[in-house]
Amino acid sequence: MDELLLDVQDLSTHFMTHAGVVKAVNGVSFTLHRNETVGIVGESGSGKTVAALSLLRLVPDPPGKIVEGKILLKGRDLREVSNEEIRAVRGNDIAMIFQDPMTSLNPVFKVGMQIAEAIMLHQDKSRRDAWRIAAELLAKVGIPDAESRVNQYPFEFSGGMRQRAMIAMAISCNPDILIADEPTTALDVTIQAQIIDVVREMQAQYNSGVILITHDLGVVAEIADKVMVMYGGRTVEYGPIDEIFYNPHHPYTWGLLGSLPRLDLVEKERLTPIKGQPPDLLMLPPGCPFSGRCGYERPDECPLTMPDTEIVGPEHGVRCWIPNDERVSARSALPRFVARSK
Amino acid sequence: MLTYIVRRLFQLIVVIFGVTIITFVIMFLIPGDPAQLLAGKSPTPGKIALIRSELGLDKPLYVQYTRFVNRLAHGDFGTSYQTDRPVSAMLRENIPYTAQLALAAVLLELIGIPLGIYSALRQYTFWDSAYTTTALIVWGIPVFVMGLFLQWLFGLKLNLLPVTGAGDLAFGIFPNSWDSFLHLILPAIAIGLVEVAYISYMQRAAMLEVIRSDYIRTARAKGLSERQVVFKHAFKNAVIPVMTIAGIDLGALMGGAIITEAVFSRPGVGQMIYSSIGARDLPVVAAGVIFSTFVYVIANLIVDLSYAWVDPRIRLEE
Repeated sequence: MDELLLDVQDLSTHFMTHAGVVKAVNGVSFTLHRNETVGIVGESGSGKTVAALSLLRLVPDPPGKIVEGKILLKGRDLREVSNEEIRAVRGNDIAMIFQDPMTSLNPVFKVGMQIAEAIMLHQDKSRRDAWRIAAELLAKVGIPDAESRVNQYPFEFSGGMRQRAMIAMAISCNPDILIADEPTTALDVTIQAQIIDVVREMQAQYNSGVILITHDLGVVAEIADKVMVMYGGRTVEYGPIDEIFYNPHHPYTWGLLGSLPRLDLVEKERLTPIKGQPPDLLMLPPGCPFSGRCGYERPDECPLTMPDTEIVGPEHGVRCWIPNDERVSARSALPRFVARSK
Repeated sequence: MLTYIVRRLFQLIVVIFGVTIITFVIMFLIPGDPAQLLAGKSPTPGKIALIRSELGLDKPLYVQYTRFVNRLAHGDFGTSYQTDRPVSAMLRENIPYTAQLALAAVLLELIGIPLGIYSALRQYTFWDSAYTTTALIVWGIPVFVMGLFLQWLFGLKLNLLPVTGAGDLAFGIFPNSWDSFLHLILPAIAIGLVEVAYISYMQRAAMLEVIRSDYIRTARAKGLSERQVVFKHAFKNAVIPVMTIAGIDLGALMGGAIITEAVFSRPGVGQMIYSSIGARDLPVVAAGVIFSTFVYVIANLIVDLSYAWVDPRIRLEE
């Protein structure tokens, strides 16, 4: 296995608001190796983005605070380092691509300058060299006529081009880890595929580890090696991609897969929505956050305490109170999984 | 760019037509007859009629206005009813004092920008709440109340600063001596303090919005220091709305100058307009109004031009 880049242990990030403590991320653990892609999946408000921002200590404080856990970047705990040291990590060791390319670039500075800035900051390069590298990077991520494009402003770029520029900025310092926070959500479908390709190419070229945050299981299926499913700030299931798609154990993962359209079925099939609303993060039950929407709930256990991780396959863990055999039989009764045996 | 400036200057002419018409109508409608005022304490009807026909006040309003415009087109502002002096000479005398006061007030106003930014960066702290509350209170104080209060405090009570008049000028508009500078302080604060409060409040709001935006998060994720994030990435964006506000606010500044010059008995265009309104001295009022309009429109043009310079998304040629 490749070098271990990131080892996140028991990460909890809370927001201290007037209304109370919002537990956005609650005891999340995962690892990331070189050349590996980890998908973090979950619906809006499940804590995916806050988890990612926590890695770089970018959660606005106040009100946000990392209250617990370790973020080990090649063994060094990023929670313990000084502000200056974490700034040296940002953009250099860990770079991030954000969800909305329309608003993620500064409107009043040239695209080239916004890329060159990161290069000049982390590498010993002159302004002229940094701009030259910026142009090369833009060409590399597939922007035609990059030489003149560096001198343009973000408003002169289309959405897809802006996201390419964001990727160019992110890879400019050859980071070990690339965090892509819903990089395709704001783009139309044809552009989405192109952006995913660019991310994949860049990963191959720089041997980075990629953390891909998304609610789109289609994207995850395409590029992730491992998947972590989050719900209500907690990891409910994690495992290698095939395990999650073909041997899912958590009812929430079933729900996610059930709401995914399939092209491989001859008969038309209705998508199954997950009933109910995502939980209010101010009033999470002490137990499983999915209790109440689950449908297989055990009222005496589920809402009261969070189960420990149960290993159900190779590197495949789930946190659920339903006994393993009952889970498997419940799953096989679902329409989605009747036809889905590998 | 040049076509844009030329077009804006043509608009200026239209605006000046508009404000002079309004000035004429207002001066015509308000009670009080300049001829009667000029005729002295015991006027005879004959004397009043004579003065009236000398000044052309017996003609209908539109004739008076056409004459006025005709003269103006030839660069002639006419003669003051009150002093019989050419209005252009009066303008030349008074403009430097008002320019001095306005410049001092604008420089003071600029303090609002760092104050607003500082407050925004420390949102929810004691300093921020205290400052914002103070700014709101100061913002609500009318200029003349502020002027009278400053006179009372620094003049009467503390006896620190002169409360009336203005010193002599050097190089056009600058105070020529320490004493002359001291004369400028209270009037400049009377106008400027309210503007500082206003500008800082707006700057705070603009900064708060910018500092939460996605591209600031991007800048932080790049590893930039907080100083670079704030003063490079956020500042340029946050100052754009404040520039517009400052431009529009020049109107308030001109109005404030009229009142302040009256309160502090300072020479200036404001004082000139103020005293000639009392005497129904139409040519002087009209000239003062034209001057204010001119300054206002030109200042806004400059703001719009600098806007395009700060914000690349704005293209003036549309």
